Amino acid sequence: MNRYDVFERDVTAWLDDAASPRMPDFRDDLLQRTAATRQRPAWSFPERWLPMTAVTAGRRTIRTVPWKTVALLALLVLVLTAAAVFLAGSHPRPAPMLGRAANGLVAYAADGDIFAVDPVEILEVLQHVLQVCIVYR
Amino acid sequence: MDQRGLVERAGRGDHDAFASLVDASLARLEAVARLILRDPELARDAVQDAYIRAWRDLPGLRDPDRFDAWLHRLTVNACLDAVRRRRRRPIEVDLSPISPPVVGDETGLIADRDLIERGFRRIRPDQRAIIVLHHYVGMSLSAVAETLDIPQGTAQSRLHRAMADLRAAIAADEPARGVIQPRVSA
Repeated sequence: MNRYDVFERDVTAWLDDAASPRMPDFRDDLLQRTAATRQRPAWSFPERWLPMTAVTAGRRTIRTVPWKTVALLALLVLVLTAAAVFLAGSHPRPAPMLGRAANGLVAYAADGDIFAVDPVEILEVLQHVLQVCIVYR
Repeated sequence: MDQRGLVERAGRGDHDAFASLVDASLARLEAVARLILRDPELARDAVQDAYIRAWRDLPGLRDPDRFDAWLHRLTVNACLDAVRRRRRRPIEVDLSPISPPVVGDETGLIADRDLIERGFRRIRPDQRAIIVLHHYVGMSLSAVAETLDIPQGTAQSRLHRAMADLRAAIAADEPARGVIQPRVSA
């Protein structure tokens, strides 16, 4: 016998000693309560209709939803979203440095001089010249 | 009448047959619940819940020969439910003496039992349940597995882990008392 056998024997002895089974005084009260309880009809048990293997297999594959974890995760996501919205909303927007972006002037050199023209105007002038050329052709 | 006949009659609504089944098992199951819960009042409630559920659901028990295992399962589940409910309430500590006065050569034995008692309270209720079923009720590992509705390998590993945790709980308590050394016999 090794020390673990001795330990198990001691545990068994203690359990026998601590249990001291006796008929409890609530026996009559218990039977009154059961007598007042209606039994479930046999047909309402799935075990009566389905093979036990199907019933127990179904029971073992079902996992209880960890609602606490789900609630904590949802709360965490909510807090993070709220924090992101708050930070984005409260961030001061800097004033534009150069105003709205727009097309600028185009500089070119001709005959030793530098000219600056609006490319939109040049385009309109060129289109006009082209139409005149087509008309007089 | 044998137990199978009583179970069949009780399943058809015969309350006298159910009372006979209660008389044959109540003392043992109340002791089981007391060992698991370490609280007589909680054990009383758990056992009553288990028997009421047994009476209500007895028509659904297909195999009358499994009545004992089924009743133990209901009791263990009722005990674990009672523990879950108790976690939401203040804990009551029983301060009554655990062991009788120490006399003569029994000092070591009484101290051992005191240590086991304290260690047993420190492990989880589901671990206490599997130890009680195997070492007090005397169920084989396959019967424990059937009672708890788990595979036999799982029952074996849970029992092993429960005993290891009990041993660790006792060992953690030992240095403080400085009384018990591990006893090894040839």
